Amino acid sequence: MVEIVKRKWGLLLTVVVAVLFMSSCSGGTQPAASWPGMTVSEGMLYVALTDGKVHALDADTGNQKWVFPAETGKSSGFLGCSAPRVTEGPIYAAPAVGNTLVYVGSYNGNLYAINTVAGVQQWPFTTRDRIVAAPVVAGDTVYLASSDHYVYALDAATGEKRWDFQAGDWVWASPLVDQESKAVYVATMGHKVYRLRLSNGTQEWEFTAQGAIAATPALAGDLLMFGSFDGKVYAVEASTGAPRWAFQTGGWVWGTPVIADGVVYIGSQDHNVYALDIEKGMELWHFPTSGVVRDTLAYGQGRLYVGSEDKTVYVLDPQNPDEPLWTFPTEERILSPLILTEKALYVADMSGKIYALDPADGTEKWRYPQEQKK
Amino acid sequence: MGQLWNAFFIQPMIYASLWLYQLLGHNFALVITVLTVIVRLLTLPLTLPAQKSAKKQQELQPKIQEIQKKYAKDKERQSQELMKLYKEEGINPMGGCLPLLIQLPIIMAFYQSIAKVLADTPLTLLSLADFVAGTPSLISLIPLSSKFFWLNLARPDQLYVLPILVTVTSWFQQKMMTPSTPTDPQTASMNQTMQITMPLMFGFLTMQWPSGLAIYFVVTNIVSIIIQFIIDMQGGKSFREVFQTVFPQVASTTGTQARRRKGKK
Repeated sequence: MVEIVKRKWGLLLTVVVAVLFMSSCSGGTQPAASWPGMTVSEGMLYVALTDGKVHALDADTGNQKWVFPAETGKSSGFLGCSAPRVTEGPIYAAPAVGNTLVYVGSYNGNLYAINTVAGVQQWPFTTRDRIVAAPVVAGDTVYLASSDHYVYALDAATGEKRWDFQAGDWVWASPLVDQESKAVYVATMGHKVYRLRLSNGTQEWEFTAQGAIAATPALAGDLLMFGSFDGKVYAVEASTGAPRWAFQTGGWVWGTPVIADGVVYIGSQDHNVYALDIEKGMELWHFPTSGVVRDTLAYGQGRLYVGSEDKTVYVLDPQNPDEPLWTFPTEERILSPLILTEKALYVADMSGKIYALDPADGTEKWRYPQEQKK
Repeated sequence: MGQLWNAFFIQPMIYASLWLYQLLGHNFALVITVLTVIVRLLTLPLTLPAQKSAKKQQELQPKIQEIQKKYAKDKERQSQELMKLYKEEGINPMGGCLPLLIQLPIIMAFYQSIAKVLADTPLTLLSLADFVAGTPSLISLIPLSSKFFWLNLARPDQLYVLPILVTVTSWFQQKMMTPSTPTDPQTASMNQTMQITMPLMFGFLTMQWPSGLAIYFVVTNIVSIIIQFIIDMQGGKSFREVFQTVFPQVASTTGTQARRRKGKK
């Protein structure tokens, strides 16, 4: 009889331990990862890393100035199954800088305004769902999009709401603010692009694509261009929303078009980078990589920089794109936008590493986090 | 191996889910329910022999125990006699395992495809792209609407209704599958423990899983219970008799109450 009781409780204990083990290793309801986002301002590189924290680095040296949130360490998972401590939730959005504040949208639905000097939180603004899009600072206003279907215009100093716009679906693309035409362009996962009045968020027109739009549109004169999950790159008149042309790629387009010298460059999930004529949307050339090309293009000094899911940075001469000028291998996939300045090309990969490269020849200047010397 | 698995199992399931989503008015909870029932019916030829075999073995428990007792000291003879008994009754003691193993990949693929289709984070959505690229009619459906009453199917149920339903239906299913005929105290004790801990474990895990998966568990449990009822009723038993076999305590309590009511009248 004693043996039966022992067996019974032994079995019960085993099941309870298994459940606790599974629950501690599953990471609960938190998504496992995000992709890093970066922005450069006044000699500082602000990086939202896959650990759910914002790291402020010296753009020239990669030395860390501060980390937000400041807590470090790991959560105490059961049976040694520890998980990274994600105090404020993962961050997909690149930080935005303005008015001595860094604005970062978290997957927990909050926008945090952080002091650029000390990395101390000034105020949060809470939305009703996850924030995927990077906030945009224009003058004294921060424009914020959320998965709660709203776009918000906030006072940049206090976080007070000035207006909001109901977009009808998740908004994962950062709003595009055009001060000249006093308009904000909003792209949604519900296939729509809206033009709103900058002053009060009133809708001026809408355009419907055949697929979700997850990346910010690009503006060139009166031409607004954006990619969609239906594989197309659309060009519409910015003032009216009337369609001008569309170009079909072989996969989802999840990136902002890069426009330079009358050419539109766009990456696709079909592994290609396309160069299109801006007037008619005709293909000029395409360059194949071995992985998805998401929102990972940058253009400068007559060169096109391409990050690919195949863990490689390609640098192309648009006049002769067949052979890359140079390539740089990363440790993991590249899904985050590249940041190009005169001094450096910043690349973030999915392992959470940041590489600062010489834009001329790809020489590595520094890497963050720096590898420990053995 | 991973590519083959995706091509032969996950991709067809994802296509089926999206096609049904289009057909059923963009209601993914309904898609999960319909697809679960279809998958369970399609795998019925595989699961039915296993369930029947298990049932027959339950019925043979008294005879099996008798042999085990009789030849407790001679293990070789015991297994010979057991095999003889199985042969006489026309059951294969391992017959239930193979069909269950064969249907396992289908269930796993279904489970995985639900999780993939319900992608509501940028990274999971990006991984879904590989499965639906080249089918423009399906791409226009993405991302799917995951709202269903108070639920967001891609996230856990905040009101804990589904974890409770998963626990209750799992317990009921366990109860149906476990022999009600008296076995040796050790096995009975183990069965009793499993009947409580397994449903609790599933309920607990459902608190952390997307509610879409919880709906799958509830529906699959209900389908299993119905199938088991049908199997049990094949021997000429009525629904009431089957219920009484599974829940003898409830049956005896209600019987006593009925007799009392009759007596009063």
